[in-house]
Amino acid sequence: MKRILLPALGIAALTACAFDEGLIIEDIEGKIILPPEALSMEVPQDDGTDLAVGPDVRMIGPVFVGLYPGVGDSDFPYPHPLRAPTGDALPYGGTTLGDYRFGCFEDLACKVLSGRFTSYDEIVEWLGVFEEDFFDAYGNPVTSGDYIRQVCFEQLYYTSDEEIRILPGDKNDNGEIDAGDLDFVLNESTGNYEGNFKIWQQEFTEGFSAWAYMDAPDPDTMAYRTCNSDPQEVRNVQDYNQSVVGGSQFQDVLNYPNTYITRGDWVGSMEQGIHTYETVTDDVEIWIDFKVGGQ
Amino acid sequence: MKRILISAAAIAAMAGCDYRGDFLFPGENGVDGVIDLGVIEVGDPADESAVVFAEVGPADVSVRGGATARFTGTGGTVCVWVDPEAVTWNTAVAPGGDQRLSYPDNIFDDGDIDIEVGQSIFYTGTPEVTVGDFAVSYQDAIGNEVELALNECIIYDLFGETGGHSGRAAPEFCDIPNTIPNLEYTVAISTWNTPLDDDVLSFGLLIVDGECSDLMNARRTTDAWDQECVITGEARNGGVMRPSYDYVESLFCLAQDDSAPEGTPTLSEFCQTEAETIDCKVERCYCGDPTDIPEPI
Repeated sequence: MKRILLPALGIAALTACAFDEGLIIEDIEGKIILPPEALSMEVPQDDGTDLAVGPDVRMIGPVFVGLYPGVGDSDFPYPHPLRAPTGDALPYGGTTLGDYRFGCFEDLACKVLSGRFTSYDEIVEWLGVFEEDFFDAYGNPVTSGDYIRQVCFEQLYYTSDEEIRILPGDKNDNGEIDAGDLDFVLNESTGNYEGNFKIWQQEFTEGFSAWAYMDAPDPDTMAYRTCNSDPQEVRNVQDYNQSVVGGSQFQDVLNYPNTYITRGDWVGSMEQGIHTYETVTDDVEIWIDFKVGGQ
Repeated sequence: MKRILISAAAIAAMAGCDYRGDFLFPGENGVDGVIDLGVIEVGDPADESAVVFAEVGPADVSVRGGATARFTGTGGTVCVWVDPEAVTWNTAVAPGGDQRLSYPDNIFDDGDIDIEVGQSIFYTGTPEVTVGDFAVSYQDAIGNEVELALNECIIYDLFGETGGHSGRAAPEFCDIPNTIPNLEYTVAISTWNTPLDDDVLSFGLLIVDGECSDLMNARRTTDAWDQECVITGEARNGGVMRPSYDYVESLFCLAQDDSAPEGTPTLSEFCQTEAETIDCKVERCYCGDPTDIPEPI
């Protein structure tokens, strides 16, 4: 009897593996393309002049990619996902390219993104372009990337750059962290900057559209509108006389893009900025090529 | 020995039969499980008489119980405030370092009620039949059904997320901003649980002009723990205030703003006296058992 039972159980177990739940859940991948103009800006200087900066990858703010029922251009003077009567764009899913990172200094809240810097020195240099001095807990100006690193290790109790997550890993496996490891990489043949996104475990719905927008930094403060720095809601470290908050994107950046999109930000245009899915394996390239508020 | 044991068990079983839990079932205590309070005029925050008191019993099986009320939009912000019986400082919920939360409490007289508010046109319930919500089905641009939550009573939980509700016996309130003038709004008050002592939940409801912070200022209740004192005397039975409950609540509220007349016992003193004179395991204690309090952290 046992001889019959065991094979029967084995067959039953094997058969169970063929059970199809009917779920269409897949990883959705695609490419975001930014023209060089989106990485450039006129930055006001203290002497009243404007300094032309870019194209520079560090100019790319957080990029939010959403899957929407549709996109139109009748509600706002720029393309925007179609909205329900409540104003909610009802996204099916989405992801980001570039996340807010804990900056380890009070003055760096909402100013540091992942995938934008290849070294800590670049942070100091970049803020210098915007004439944004920042200070440590003792009132001393921070002028060294190594000091940022050291403070991050102390504050977060980390021992490696991988844990701090400001710098990227060696994604292109060339043995060093360089521009090729950042979220957006220059395509030498076109002059555009390209970044790949992956939306993990997305329930696929035929007909939904991928669309994206980029929150550009405020040229006066170098901060981003999509960043929530409320110490009650984000990581908050008290260090001597500083309250260091990490900053994090607001929860509804995909539901209500219009709440955050302001003059100077970039969104996907009606022509090249939308991809309507037919199959989960579609070859997706969407542009963020419409500057809100004109050129 | 076995005979004695079996006989004793039988006697014990028969004695148990004199317990009747009928009052726990709908309709047995004469109080409806779903009631409608009609249209309530939006009141002035300073008007003490603007509170509407009501009682709900257990609802029928498979029906959401509670109450509904309606008001007309003013064009500005309207505060909706509900306070279920009896008091919130019960140690069973929040033992902690705050002395005001360390008073003993009889948890069997506490109920919990939740509110949602929205435009009446979106309300899915039927007054006096069932309590509904403001969830409306919407078809998006590619034909998929999505549920829209049109509840305008936004309450944040401890984690900053919307959709929160106050706990047992605690007041629950929210601002309805930018109400549309002359448009009717519905307040859906859902019974989360009725008190275990009588299965009837009494509560007070306030619908007033302006923000709830204005209401708290008008009632001199700016501290979060004072919210219990915005509506007082909500513990009722057949519409009549239950004096002892009210007394306990008033002692608490008097202590909050130091307005107690000379000679008035503090809440701690009252509870101590009650514990010394009444066996809480046998008779009703309005404070609860003071020996059953966790040490403040």
